[in-house]
Amino acid sequence: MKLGRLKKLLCCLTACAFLFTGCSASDANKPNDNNAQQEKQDKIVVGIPQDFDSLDPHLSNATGTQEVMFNVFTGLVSPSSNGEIISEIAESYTTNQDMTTYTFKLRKNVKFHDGSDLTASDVKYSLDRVCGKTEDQKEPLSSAYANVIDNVIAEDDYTVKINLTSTDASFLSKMTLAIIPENSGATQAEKPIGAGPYKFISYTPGMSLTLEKNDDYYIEGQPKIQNAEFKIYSDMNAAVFALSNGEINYMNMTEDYISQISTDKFIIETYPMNTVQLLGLNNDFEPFKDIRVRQALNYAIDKDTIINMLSKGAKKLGTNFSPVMPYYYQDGLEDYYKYDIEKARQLLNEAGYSDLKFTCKVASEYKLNTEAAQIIQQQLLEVGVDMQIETIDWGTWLEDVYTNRNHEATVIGFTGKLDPDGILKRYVSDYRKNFINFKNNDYDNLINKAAVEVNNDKRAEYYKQAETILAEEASSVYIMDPSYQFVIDNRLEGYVFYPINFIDLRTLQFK
Amino acid sequence: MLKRILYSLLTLLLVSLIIFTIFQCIPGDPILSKLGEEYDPTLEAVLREEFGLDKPVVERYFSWINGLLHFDMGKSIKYNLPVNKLILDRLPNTLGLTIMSFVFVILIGIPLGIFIAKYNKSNSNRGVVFNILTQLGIAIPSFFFAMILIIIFCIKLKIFEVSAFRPISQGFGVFIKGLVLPSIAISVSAISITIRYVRNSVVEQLSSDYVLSAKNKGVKENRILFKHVLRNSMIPIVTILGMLFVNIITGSIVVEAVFSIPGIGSLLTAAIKSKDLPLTQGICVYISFVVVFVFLILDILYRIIDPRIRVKE
Repeated sequence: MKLGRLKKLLCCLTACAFLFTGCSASDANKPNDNNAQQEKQDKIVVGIPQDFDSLDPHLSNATGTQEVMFNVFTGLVSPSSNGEIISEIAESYTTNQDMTTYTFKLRKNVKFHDGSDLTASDVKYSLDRVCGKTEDQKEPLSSAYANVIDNVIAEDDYTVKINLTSTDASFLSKMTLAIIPENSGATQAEKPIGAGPYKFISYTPGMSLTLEKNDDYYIEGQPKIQNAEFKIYSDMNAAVFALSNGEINYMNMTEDYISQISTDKFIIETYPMNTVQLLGLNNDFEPFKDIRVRQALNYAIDKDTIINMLSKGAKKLGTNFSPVMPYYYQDGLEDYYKYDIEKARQLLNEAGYSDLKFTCKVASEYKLNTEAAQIIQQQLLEVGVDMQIETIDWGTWLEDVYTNRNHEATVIGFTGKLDPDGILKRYVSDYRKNFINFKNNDYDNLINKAAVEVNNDKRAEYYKQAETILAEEASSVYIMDPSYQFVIDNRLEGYVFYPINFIDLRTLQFK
Repeated sequence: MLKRILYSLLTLLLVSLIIFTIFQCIPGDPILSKLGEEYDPTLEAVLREEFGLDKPVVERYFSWINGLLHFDMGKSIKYNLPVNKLILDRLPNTLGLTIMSFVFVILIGIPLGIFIAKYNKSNSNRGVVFNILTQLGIAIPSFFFAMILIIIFCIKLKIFEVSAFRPISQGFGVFIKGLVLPSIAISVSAISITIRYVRNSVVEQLSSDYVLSAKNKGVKENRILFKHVLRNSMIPIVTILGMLFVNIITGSIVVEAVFSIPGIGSLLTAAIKSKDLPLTQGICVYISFVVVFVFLILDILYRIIDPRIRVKE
């Protein structure tokens, strides 16, 4: 009997615990019932690995934020899926002879999410704001705009004239800048308002961003899905579990995680990323001052092995440019230094560095780069080069390697841009971000000439020549444009890929 | 009591100073971290000024302390939002998780500990099994247990969603539902520790003289257990429960990430990663405050359980 009372107490407590668990779980099977299924068709859930840096489009800088917020904001122009720049809010544009004045004619049926019409004064406000010329923003937010734009004139409600300080061949690509309603700068970070296909509903930091279809979007019939949620998964294992459970419809992932996803419910897609992963060599580091040493490292690294091990289907590179932008890409440089251990040894001996030792700093946050560094380390051992890997955090990398150039070598991947200027200017001698200290007058001339060249074919030719110099000079070891891999619900169709980070929800729909 | 509060304030001040100093020493720049490799020098300057990073270190520290006295913990560099708001937004999530885990610890740990003590006083075979089980419970990392729970209850049995968490604003029911698995994952080691402590404490009391004399006088066993033994066993148990409460709070840092719960733990991880000093400091002050508060509550509980402490004072 004594035993009975205590047992009863324990049983009661255990039952309570299970009842509590059981009750709360009673409707957890939602994704399987019909209503939930219907709800799913109207809603897409996209998994993203990082939180947003700012919802204000003019203050945000992170690629991860922009690839989502392209759905909320639109610019005068936008990228097309093949990397061209196409009109968006601007119906058309004209320029003067030397391309120092652009006149944009705006579409008349574009409305912001707050219901107001998008007019020339909003465009003027947005551009003036990034240049630091508005009442609410007195400091420039971007030198890329502030240094280039002289003034912006709203000629009438639907005509905007932009005068530049000098010719800037990459100017048009800058007009992807988000247009926001006049005087709305102060509230954009908390309640972003744009004219994009989706309007902002809510944001819970660290958790999710919810969007809803903009019924007034100027392209009829788009977007197709009513609701969108971007869920943040800081733990990739959790994301894999959520995908396996059908809680996410779309997410981009790296090779090692993607292999865990069942292909019953998902399609795995692979596209080039327009990114350049390289072993950056500090050209001011004594052994790397000798071109033979740089060339030797180029011969000693087997890029195909790295690609096969880390990112199947990636594009092999020979220069700081990906073939995903074919118009500006110089073919054939990817095998300029074909894998050849003997040649590498010979060059190192000639240069007097047969026992070369150096340190490679890698940001620990980027697994693809740390793993590439490990493979490179093994490959270099074969030619007697001892490469030590030093992992540092991203903030330290930016400060130490990128800003102060205090490194011997590094492995890094740079996200591509819409215009080649931003990609290739990186190695101009006096450029602030020339972190490998590459110096070549011919290269500088070509990039500077291309920046003001109004003839596009000529401009492309300059860039191709510049890419050839980067390869010939073995400025660094350019490895690959890694694959952008993602899993997408096999009930979804209409996915469009872009050579910049952009998760375009406009054309997606459930079958 | 006043002395204790003063000590607590001093602890908070020390914590803030240590964290501030550590952040000054470790390499890396919060603004550069925020802006990434395509950072623009103009925007960098604007942000540096906005967050006061252009000012000397000492000035920044005192301005932060001054803000703290006015309940203003500054603005997060990463999120560009007030630290207070970020913490308050996430507080219900972490508090919910902590309280629920603690409820599991009390509801399961204490009764099981008593049960084992009562029927397994000596180290018999059954005792060995309990020992192994509780040892396993203590040893298993919470994130690993979390994954096992996800595989069983979400993937195989489909009872829960993996990212089942919903903020309390969406309803209390769904909020609680989202916390069930994470709470179990966090509390399993605390439950195991509690069982061990309760069992040992009760067994120790059961073999003391006053129990023997009560038995000899013919007092019923259950009456001895619940009326006398438990009360005397409670002091060490309450101490360990206080420690476990703090453990649960810190344990949430990992488990929140696995279950994608936007709580204080995941906020702290994000803040440290991006070198967001105002946010990191704010969260550390908050955690220190909770720890100090929990120990204050413990003090009060001691006095209730054992009147002798009151008498001594």
